[in-house]
Amino acid sequence: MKLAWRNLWRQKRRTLLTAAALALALALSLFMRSIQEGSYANNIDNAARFATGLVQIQHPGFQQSQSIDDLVPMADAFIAPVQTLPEVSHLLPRLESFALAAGDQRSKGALVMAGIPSLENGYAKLEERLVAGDFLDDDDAQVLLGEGLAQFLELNVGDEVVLYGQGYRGQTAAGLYRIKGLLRFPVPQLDSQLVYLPLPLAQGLFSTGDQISAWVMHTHQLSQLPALESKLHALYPDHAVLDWQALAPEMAQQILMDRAGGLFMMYLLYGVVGFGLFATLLMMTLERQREFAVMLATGLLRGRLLLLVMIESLFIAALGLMMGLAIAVPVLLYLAAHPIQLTGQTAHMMQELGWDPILPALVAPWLFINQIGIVLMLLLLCLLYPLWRILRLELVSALKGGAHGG
Amino acid sequence: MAASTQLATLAWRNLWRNKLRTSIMLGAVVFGLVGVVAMIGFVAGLYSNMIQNAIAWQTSQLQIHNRHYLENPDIQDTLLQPKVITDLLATLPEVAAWSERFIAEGMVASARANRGIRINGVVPDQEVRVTPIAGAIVEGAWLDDQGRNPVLVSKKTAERLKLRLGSKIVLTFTDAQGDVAGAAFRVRGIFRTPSTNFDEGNLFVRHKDLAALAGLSGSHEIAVRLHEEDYRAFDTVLAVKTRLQAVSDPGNRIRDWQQIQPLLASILGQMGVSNAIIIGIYVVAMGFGIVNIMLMSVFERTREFGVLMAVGMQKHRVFTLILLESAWLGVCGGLLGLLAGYALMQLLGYTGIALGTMAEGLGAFGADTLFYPRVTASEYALIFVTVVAASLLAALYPARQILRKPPAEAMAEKH
Repeated sequence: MKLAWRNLWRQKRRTLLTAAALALALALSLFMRSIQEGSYANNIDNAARFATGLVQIQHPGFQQSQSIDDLVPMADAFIAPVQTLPEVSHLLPRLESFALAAGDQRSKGALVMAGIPSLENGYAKLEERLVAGDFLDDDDAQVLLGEGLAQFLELNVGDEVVLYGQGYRGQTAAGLYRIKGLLRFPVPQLDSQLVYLPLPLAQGLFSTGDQISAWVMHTHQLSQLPALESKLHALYPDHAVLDWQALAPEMAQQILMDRAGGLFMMYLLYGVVGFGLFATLLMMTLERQREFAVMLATGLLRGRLLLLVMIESLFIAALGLMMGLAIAVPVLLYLAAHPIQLTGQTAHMMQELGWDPILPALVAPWLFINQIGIVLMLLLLCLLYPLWRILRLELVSALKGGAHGG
Repeated sequence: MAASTQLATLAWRNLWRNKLRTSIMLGAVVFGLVGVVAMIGFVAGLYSNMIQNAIAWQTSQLQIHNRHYLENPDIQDTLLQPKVITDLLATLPEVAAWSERFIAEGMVASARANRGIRINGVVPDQEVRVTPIAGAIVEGAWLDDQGRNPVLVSKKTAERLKLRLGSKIVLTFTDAQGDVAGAAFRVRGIFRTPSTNFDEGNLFVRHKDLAALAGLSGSHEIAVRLHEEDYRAFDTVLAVKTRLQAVSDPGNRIRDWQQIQPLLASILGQMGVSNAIIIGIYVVAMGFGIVNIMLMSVFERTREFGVLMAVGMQKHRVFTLILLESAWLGVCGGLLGLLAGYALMQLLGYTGIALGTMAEGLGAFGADTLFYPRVTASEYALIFVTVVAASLLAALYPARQILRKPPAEAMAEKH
């Protein structure tokens, strides 16, 4: 061990440079992966909170049709089993449909969403989206409009909006409602289309009775989702249990693509650094052939020699790991607490795609273990050939030959 | 002159004294560059596909609207004096085709469900020459003059509303008087475009049917397609725009695709920056390797350099020699790497990159599931210059280290 450590410092510059290259690759990869995974988690959570929830119970036909005819019961008897599940952190009934929203002069197709305002506020944080007027009470007979929709219809807080559409089983749905407030969403599809109603009011409008489109659920932690899903499947065999990946496949696939891109970049970087590491390790062995031969000739076992070289390389890797972590960890911890806020056109672009324009970092042990594992694998790969050269080192010629064999 | 050629030759020979080491480093550079080229090509290919699609399907190169309509789309704000514009369009050689559209924001309803939608009233012959819609029909046929109130819906809408060819749907919207107008239409065809957003929000009917229903005449939008379809040829677009602005009523506004979708333009701008960052990171990583290789190669020849200096070779020439060795490494690695990268791009350009399993994610971007990587000559040049520059920079440190040793001491070194 001591010998290995000393050997390392015979070539101070080389050791440091190789370790620095490893550290650079490690820090950059860790940085990129943490931000990637952090944004995914943030986006999933965000999208879930307003749009889909992490998992929903729906009528089997609803996802295809989004029809007001495909509903599930809102009754306590139906949902009682879920209320006892420990994984569920939020449980909300929601009703969704479409209607023509009309002001005095204009009309437009609108997305009608309904929920229980007090519950939604704890989950979707709707009140934070409010830009004018007041938030709804649970039994209000008033509505909230997306700001873009209100502008199109030339309506303001206090004005009345007409909703006209198709209700349950072909009944006509029509109603006149006072606007209590305006909501602003970064995603244009919501901002220019949304009408938000308290659930009882919407059930009256669409004549659905005590029924809703979906029960929306959230778990305490994202990792509890698979367990919850399998329980729900068992509890509700006749209904559709859909998770966010099924409800928003666009987002799930974008995350997959983005992650694949990130991993490709990371492996490429490690590949480039790996070549450097390989060159260093190989030189370390080749230029010391004579030295090794002397050691072998004086009775050192070949196994011990291999071990010596492996320990030396491990030291380089460990040094690189420590340097890399020393750079990355403080930055990541800071970023986890204070996410980067994007501005300008990038932010605008992300909002249009429905993402939050912030870049939070995820600091999770598996990310670190992953990186360390990759570095060690790389080291092993780079060591194979040098070790093989030592194994078949011919004593006599190495003793006779120069310091460096080619 | 002869002396510098001599130095370059010497550097080249020195480089190949340790073949194994040089080969490893070349391998590193080639590997890294192929990866960088692939990544740039993939991203640029995806984005340019997205931009081409957006232009082809949604924005065309130019659009003309009434200014009031752009501020707030009111069905009454039709184009002012469209005749002047279309007359000019007919004479411009750059213009391939144009389409006059009558647009209403409304609802589509079947017996099953209803949704908000943008109703595009188009002249069938005009529309097919502006957008690729006729080729995107998966069932049925494109609109023509036959029959009463035909409509073309997207596959997605058809699924949502449970529609088949011949199904009846009801379209409703606010007419010129502010009353709700509506009529029944029959599904003539079902289309699917690369963009899921577009598909969710649009359907097509005949211009004359929709205008009659609204009790109006004229159009809200003229979309213009040029013969030059490459999105990078933006000058042509601007030239046509200027010609149109000269004759158009000032109450109309003519916008190019970058104004219609500023996001597309900003993507183009960002692509350059992100490519530069990617290249930068890899070149720095390669730089570390090169510094290390040069350090080794220089220090094991300490004695040799000592001798060279002792017999009268000036320091700056030794310095140049070391830089040249490193530069050769950069040039060789750069050329080989780019060559391999270029070959890979040609291959992928031939086969295309197919991401069928990512259809929905790509659809949200408005990109096809099969697209072609794209690396421009200037990007190749940028990569090459960066690599050579980095290899020169990487040699500075080893060269300085060796020159600090006095010749006598260097000669005495045994290594």
